[in-house]
Amino acid sequence: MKILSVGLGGVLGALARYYIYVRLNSNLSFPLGTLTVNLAGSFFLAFFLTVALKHLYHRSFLVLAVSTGFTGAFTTFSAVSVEAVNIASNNPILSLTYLAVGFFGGLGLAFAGRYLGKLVSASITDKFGGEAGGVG
Amino acid sequence: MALDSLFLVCAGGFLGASARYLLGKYISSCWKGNFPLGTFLVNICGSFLLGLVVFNPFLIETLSRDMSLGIGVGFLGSFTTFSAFEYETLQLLERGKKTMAFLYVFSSFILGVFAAWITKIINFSNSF
Repeated sequence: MKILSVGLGGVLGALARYYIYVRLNSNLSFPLGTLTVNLAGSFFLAFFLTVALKHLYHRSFLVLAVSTGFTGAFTTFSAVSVEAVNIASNNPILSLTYLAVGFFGGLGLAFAGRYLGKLVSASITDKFGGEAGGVG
Repeated sequence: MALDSLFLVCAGGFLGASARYLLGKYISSCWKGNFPLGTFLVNICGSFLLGLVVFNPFLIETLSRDMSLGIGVGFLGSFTTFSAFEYETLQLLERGKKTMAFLYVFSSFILGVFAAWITKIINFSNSF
């Protein structure tokens, strides 16, 4: 069951990433699509896990499907490595810039997601009381 | 977008995410250190394998366009992950493990890019 929820989340994550690739990566020498999915996913994972580990911990299938499955598959590392190699053959500085923007941007957004998650988490506790409030 | 390639991206996404989950579970059962070894290994191996799909002359010739999309975008794209990499870095920083976070980030990028680069430099076709 756990594998199934991770797998189904993976299908949706891969499809969503593919859609954004087709829209943003084509006709560009810069992989904007990969950067977009990685930045958005880094923000979302930190936000989601911060809220879910407090309020959805008893729904482990859902949490796994969204975090390990969907967001894990939506974002990607292998494409970053290959794109960095490709860009470096023409423009090593741009390649390093791509890696740095991806990493520091993603980390900054993960911190922002963590912060927002704590705010949302606290307001759920305020409104519904108790750790598992709001999802009964 | 042809339907064949969409189907293969979906199938690859299912298998890639499941494989990452199972491997992560297995590694965390035998590795108790702070270093996020599961994500690290998955990302390095996936970078090497995607390098083969994209750069290797034999594979470029052998795989159809749909198959390389299914394996490259579907399976390897989902097998490797960036969000967990950033989240684990965030956790290490929150716990004050700055050196470990630095080591994790630099080794992931350097080895990941190196793994992809080596497939461009060396033609592994001879060993197939």
